[in-house]
Amino acid sequence: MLAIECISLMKKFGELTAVDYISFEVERGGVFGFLGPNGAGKTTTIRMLTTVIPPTEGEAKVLGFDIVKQPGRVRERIGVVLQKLALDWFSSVYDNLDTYGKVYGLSKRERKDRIDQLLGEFGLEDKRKEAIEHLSGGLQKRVQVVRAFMHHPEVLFLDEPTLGLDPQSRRKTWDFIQDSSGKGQTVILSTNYMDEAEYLCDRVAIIDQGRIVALDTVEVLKSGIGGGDIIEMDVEGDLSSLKPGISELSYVKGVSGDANLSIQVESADRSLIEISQYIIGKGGKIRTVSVRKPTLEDVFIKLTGRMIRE
Amino acid sequence: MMQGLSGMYYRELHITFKIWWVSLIPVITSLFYLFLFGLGMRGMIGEEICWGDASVDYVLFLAPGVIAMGTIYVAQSIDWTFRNERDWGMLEEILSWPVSRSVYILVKVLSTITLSLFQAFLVLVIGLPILEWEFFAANIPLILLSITLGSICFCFMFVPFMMMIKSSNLLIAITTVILLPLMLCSSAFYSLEAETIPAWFKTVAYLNPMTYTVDILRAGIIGQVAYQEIVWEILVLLAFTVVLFGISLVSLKRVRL
Repeated sequence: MLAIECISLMKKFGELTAVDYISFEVERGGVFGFLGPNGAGKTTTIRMLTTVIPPTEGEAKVLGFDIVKQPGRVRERIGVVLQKLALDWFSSVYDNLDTYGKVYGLSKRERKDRIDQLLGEFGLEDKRKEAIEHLSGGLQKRVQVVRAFMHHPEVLFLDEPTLGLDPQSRRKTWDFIQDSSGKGQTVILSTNYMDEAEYLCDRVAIIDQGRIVALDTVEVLKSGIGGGDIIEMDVEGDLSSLKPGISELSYVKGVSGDANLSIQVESADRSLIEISQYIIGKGGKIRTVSVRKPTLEDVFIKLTGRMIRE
Repeated sequence: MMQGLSGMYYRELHITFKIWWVSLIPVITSLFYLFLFGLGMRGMIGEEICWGDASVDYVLFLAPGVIAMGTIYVAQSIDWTFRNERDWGMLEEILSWPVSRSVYILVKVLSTITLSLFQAFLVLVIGLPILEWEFFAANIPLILLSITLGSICFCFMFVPFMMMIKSSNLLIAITTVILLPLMLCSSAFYSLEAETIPAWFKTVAYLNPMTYTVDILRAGIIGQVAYQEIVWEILVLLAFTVVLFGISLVSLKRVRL
């Protein structure tokens, strides 16, 4: 059985089409990522799949249950961390987790054991009696993430779960996502952090302006832009006049960037000197040079012509 | 459904009694009304007031009015707890839990009944012994019925507003405007049997569910009312509740949360 099956799902808010007839499937187990800039439609898709809002058109099933006709069956089986920080502010960390567990039918013993386990794993033992309002923003977010794990959901929806988290909490969340996925849970993750998507996701849907522009494993997506290396150069000079010339040089597959040049080449070893000589020959002054492997950001730029965080 | 209902009820009470003294505010307000307003008015209008077949002490006559007033205050809090949950993102989170919209509203109503009974119990225990109120076990069913039915009725009166109005400030303004005539234009503070009460006032008061809540409660606390009369008042309050429940249900289905 599929974890998620989405057929021509569409959502309109007035005249604005937030999600534009997207279709995709997610197998059970593993981490599936939605990667895209703010306003791309990631959150709206997750809100529909978690039955918070109904779609305008199309259909979707979560674990075989229709999100419109069987929302209760869907909700029983999923865990959700929505983007907005939402907790009972005046209640303690323990009470927030306890009441949530009670809603999902966990017995008092199960709730206590699970809370003890999760607070330990997320380094929150000493905060169990603290009221949420007295915690830092990062710790509040951490509690929100912990809460979603309380009832061992079959599918876990995480809408930008590490937004605003400190590096330690971010790493712990990543570890827990990987651990959950390893135990057979399906994790649906929305993010606009490249490193997060690359590190965690087995498959990634790149989403832009409400549409899925690419969907595959991270490796296939990256190889789709030709592999090789990316040379990044901070150049003083008229970049717009330099770019056409650079793109005609041998080994060069593509040039992008407005403030800095991002040049995709077959091999940096063979092309770096040639590119540098060309720029210097045209009167440009190279301030810094770095070489890296292509990332999902490069895939996104290639597909949409824009950077994710523009 | 029962699992979500009991879990959400547990959560609601947990949040409410976490800041326990807030739950005492309707009790304190009711006692202030009973002994400050009540004693002041008694001095002005005389010791006794006509109720049913007898005359009763005005402060005792007022007691059911202030308890019902506490009930309506508690019911009104459904609006601001909803508003807080909506504005703080909790509502959206809850809607992804195994809890339907109907269960969400039902839990709000159940917690209103619980809090209303709690505040009524305290007012009766603290306030009425001072008035040498004679307690009979036979009073209990009518007292429980009036507060329960009144709580449900008032909750469903406020639900459509909380569903339809998006602006928090407007929601506060409207519920505040509604509260005052509901309390003043009823039998909470005056006997509608008095000849000096204008006819139009009586007409409006009998269109107000507060009047029936107070009358049933007064029959429970003081007695002195014919059986048929109280059955009639219960049926009218029940009818108000059913109509307001229907309106709430329509607003619940139509609104985009």
